[in-house]
Amino acid sequence: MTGPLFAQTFLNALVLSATIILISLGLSLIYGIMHIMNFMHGELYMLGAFGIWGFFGQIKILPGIPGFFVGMLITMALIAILGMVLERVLLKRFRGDLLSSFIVTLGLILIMQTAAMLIFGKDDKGVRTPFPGLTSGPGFVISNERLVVMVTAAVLIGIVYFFIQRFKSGRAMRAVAQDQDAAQLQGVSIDSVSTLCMAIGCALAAAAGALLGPVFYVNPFIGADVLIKAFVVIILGGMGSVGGTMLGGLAVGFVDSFGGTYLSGEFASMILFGLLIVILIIRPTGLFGVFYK
Amino acid sequence: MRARQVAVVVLVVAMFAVPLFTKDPYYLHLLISAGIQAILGVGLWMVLSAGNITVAQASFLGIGSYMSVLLVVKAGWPFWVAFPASGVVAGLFGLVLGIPTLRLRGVYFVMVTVGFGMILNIVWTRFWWVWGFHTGVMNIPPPGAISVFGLFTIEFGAQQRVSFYYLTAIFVLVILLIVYRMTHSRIGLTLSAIRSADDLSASVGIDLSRHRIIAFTAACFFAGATGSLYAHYTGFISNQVFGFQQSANVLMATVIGGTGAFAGPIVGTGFFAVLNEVLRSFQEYIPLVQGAILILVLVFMPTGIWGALLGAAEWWKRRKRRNAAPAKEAVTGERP
Repeated sequence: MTGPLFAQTFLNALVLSATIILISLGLSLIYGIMHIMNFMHGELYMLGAFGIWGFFGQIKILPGIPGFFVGMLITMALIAILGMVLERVLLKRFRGDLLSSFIVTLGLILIMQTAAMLIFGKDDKGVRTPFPGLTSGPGFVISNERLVVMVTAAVLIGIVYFFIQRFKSGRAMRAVAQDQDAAQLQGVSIDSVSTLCMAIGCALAAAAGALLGPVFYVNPFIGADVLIKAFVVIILGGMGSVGGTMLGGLAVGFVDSFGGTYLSGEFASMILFGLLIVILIIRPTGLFGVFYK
Repeated sequence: MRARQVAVVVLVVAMFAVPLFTKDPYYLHLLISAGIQAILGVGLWMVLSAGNITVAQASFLGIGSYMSVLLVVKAGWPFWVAFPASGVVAGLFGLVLGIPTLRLRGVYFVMVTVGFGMILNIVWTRFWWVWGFHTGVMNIPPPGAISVFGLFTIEFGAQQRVSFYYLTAIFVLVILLIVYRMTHSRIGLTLSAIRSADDLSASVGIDLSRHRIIAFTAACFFAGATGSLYAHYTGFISNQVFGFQQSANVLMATVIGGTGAFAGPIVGTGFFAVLNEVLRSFQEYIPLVQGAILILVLVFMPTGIWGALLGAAEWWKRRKRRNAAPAKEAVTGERP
């Protein structure tokens, strides 16, 4: 294990973890509050990537770096609205019903994927990054692009964490996650908390898509891989706990990055799923799981 | 329940009479594929009845297929031995996976099956040299000919689709019979008790895990044997067929059909088969329509298509009775 390679892999793991946490946080919130399996979360990521492709790559609202962030904010807002509408119209009926919500979101995946394919086409699309160049330090080189991804993801995670801990509606969300009936007795409206939580979750997934769109490529099928990883994260970390999600995200990011560098990408995911099964056998509620009834 | 028995007999006779009316290989192929899907669906339905969701039916189909290829092509076993043996191997895999993990609930168990499927996918692609070709296995021989009491022989080649049709039909019937017997035995009654109230069932001394393991292992066994049939029917297998999407398709068909009775997965499979056939010329729109139908069915028919049909029949019967009742009263002149 040579030093520079190790440092490089370590940095990549951090970048990967930050984005995975960003996606998983929304998934975890939605599961914790609405008790549904939101399998379409990966497709929101995909739509987010298409959003940055559209609002930054194709329609240039502002040039350069501000344009990227404006595009990202527009994408986040649009996807958040989509999520709120879907929650109000559809997912609301299936709150607490694992099987039905699973099937309904599978149906939504089919619809979103096919729609994206019919509108944008199947082939990979690239988005030119507004952050060219590299930053080098002792023993590592990192592209500015990835650095920005990591910092932005960390800032967004921080904002959400602060919101959940300090704001009144954030407190309501935590209350519902802990005990729905008790929260309702205190006058918390489950409906509005669910809608809010869906909006936040969808916006985070869209942000991740927008951040990673320029780093990788954009096509209608990028959601599946992300979705499975996010589910591994929230299950490893324990459902509905923000701290657990962060640790789970770090675990997945590091296993993926180091496994991918020193073994191969396929073995890395094999280790990941093997680890998932073993951990669930030993600790049925995940590593840091709190058992919510 | 006379009507029900008559309906079952008519259906079985119709199933066996199909090749008398059409020998078109295309339609027979559709029916054989639907039969294979239906077995996967019925297995999944049993697991659902025990209160677990599995998204690994296609993976166990894959275990059966690859196992059968190993046994027949590499070890030289006859198909007729490898066919049940692949089922047993898949069942053992299910047992080993199920024993430690079936006590997990809801989304946790779902993720175990998803993870298991992902691992298997990697195994199929990484260790391709065990089976043969990079992306799958080609040139799998058809089952050997069997002779019936020395009177005549039945051959199973690529050309004899009718005999494959009958093989699949008999296999489907046998599986349905087993599942029917199981659901009307002690185990089946216990399973339905578990589904309607699992905490209550546990409190009266029902061993939940044991029944979940039985249901899951049986489903894996069925899927494995079906995998063997599938491999020797198509003659080639590709890793693409055993992925998450296929497992999810089985789950979708089952839930669409209805999880209340074991006719549900069959109805759902048939529904999807017909839908795909109707939309054949609009290939790229199929997922769009499927997705929309999934959502509409779940919103408007929470008990699935079969449940809705039963509900409609019940409503019709009650309406008829209500219409008939006043007439009787008028004739006798008495109040009941």
